[in-house]
Amino acid sequence: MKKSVIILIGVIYFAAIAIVSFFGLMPETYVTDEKVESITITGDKIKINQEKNTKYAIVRQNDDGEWVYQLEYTITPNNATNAKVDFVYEKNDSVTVSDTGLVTFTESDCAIIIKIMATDGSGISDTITLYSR
Amino acid sequence: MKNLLILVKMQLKEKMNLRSFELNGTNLFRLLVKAFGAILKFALVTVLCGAFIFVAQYLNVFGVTQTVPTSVISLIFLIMLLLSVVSCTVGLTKAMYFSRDNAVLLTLPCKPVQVFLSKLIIFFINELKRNLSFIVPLFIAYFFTHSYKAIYYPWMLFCIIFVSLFTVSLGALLSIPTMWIISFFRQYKYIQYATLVLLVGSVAVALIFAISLIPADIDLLANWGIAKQNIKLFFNEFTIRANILYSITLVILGETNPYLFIISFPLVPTLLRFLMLVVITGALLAAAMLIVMPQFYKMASKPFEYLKRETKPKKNRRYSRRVTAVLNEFRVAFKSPDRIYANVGTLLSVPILIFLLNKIFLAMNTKAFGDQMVIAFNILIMLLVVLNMNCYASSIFSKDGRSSYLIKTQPSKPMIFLLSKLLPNTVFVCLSLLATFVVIANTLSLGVWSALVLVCSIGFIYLTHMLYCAELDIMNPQYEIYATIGNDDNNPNETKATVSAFLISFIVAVLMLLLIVENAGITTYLKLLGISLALLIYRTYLFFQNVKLYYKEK
Repeated sequence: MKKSVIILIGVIYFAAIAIVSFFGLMPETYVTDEKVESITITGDKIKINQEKNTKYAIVRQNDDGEWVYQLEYTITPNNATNAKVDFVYEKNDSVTVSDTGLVTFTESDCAIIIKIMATDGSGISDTITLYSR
Repeated sequence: MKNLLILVKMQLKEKMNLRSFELNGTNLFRLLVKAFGAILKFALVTVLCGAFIFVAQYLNVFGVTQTVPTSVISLIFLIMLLLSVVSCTVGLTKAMYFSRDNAVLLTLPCKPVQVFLSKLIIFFINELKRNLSFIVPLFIAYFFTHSYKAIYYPWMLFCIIFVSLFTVSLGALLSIPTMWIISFFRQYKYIQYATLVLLVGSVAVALIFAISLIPADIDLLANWGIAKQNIKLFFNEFTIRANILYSITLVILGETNPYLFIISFPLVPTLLRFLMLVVITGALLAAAMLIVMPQFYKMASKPFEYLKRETKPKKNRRYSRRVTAVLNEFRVAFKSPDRIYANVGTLLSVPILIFLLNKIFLAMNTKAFGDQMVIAFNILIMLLVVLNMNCYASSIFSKDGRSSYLIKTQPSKPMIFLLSKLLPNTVFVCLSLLATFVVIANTLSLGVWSALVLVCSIGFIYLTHMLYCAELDIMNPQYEIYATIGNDDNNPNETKATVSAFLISFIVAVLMLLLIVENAGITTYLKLLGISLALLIYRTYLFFQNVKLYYKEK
């Protein structure tokens, strides 16, 4: 086979790929995801440490003798595509954190820093320190 | 010096047609047309390279900013350099050690060192010509698109001279081990075949493995960021690992001044690198003169006739005429390295090309019409490759030169010898189509039976075209040209074979696309099978009739 014929076949080969790419593909439907813009930890017992500009709350013992705190938070915008969050904290034998954000201390004078983080890849989060008294 | 010039001119006449460069009345117009054609070709290649660089800049494919980094041009240049070194090594090995002209050249009234130097000069001129066809336009396009200063253009041409010299010197040195390997394989044929099978097998397996790595779902637009990052990482790695080779390109491209952010010329590192290139080239050339030249004299003065090894006499086995003719052709097919490479290329090219094509198509999210186009393009590519292999059949009888007349004088039917000549190529193509059937059955959504019918149809079309090309050569033989020159670049039969191959491929592909759009079932492929079989029967009948008439058989 002559060199010119090989080159021509090569050109047709690549043209075939280009033609199918342009005329033979399924039309794409682009869905724009609404990302989480902010997460704000809310609740009556939340206080702000003015020096460190961090949030904290004191968890008192309830009638059952437990130190329990339900984390509450607000996500903006309301129509975020993926509103699921992760509770990120350092594992501690005295504290358990459920998937729904229920924090349970087993003893007094413990502290835990919990970060509520968005799972849509936006990296948005808010942090609170809880103390059991 | 005069003798050296005469030797160079003499050998150049063999390689290039220098008659058109002799100025006389009739030739001047042709010379001008040739010169204009060459300038146009150069400009076209430069524009194409420029377009590639411009698109890469616009899409920001390679660089952080809208530039094409020097590492990209360096990689292209180094691939071309590597291919040039390989080509030079093989060419110099043949020219210096295995060419029968050498014994004649050494008898001419000139110093032996001039004969050796003339060979190197021929390859140097060839290398310069090759660099002028692609490398120089590539660099000119790069300089233009990146606003290089004017001084870089003559500097680049000056560097290309030394790069060509470097290639030839390295090729001359590498020719010695290459010569030993070739001599070794010539003595032990079975080791040669085993090595060839191993090499070809490894290449095929490596290619198949590489192609199978293509992911099943490529969304280039969505993953463009990751793809760009990987491309940049690859080129960064290249500049680190191939630092010495990358430096060769930096001799031509220069370096960006880190303080001024412009490409200033000439920076000291660039000049140092250039000096190193000159020193290395000089050392290689000196080594070639010291090591290669004595070997050249030794091989040139050795008569080839006495190198033949003593072979044990074998009992002469008598076969029938048909078997003898077929065995003879298969022996010829495996004797010459060029034929072996062509046949191996025939065997591997179609299945690997189709596998790669379908892997790329599988990675795309095609709609129904897209799937139909994929099948049509598969048919087109298969036919284009397979039918263009019949160019060999269009000069198969003429290539024997004056020995072709023996077919007429043999005391047996000429059809036996004519068909046996076509058999080796046919066997390789059939094996290739068998492998392609396996590929298609596994990669296309056709189904096994449809794939089988399709491949059989292509086989029939191939046979039909092959008989047409063979008939062209029988009816319009070019014996005298092949008898005297040994090669014919302007064989009208080969041109007809090529044109008909392209026409048939496009017609069949378009026809099949129209039929598949209406009905994608097996009946469409059966229709193609029926048509191709009918054409084959008709063509075979015509072939037999014309051969009978030509050889005046009763």
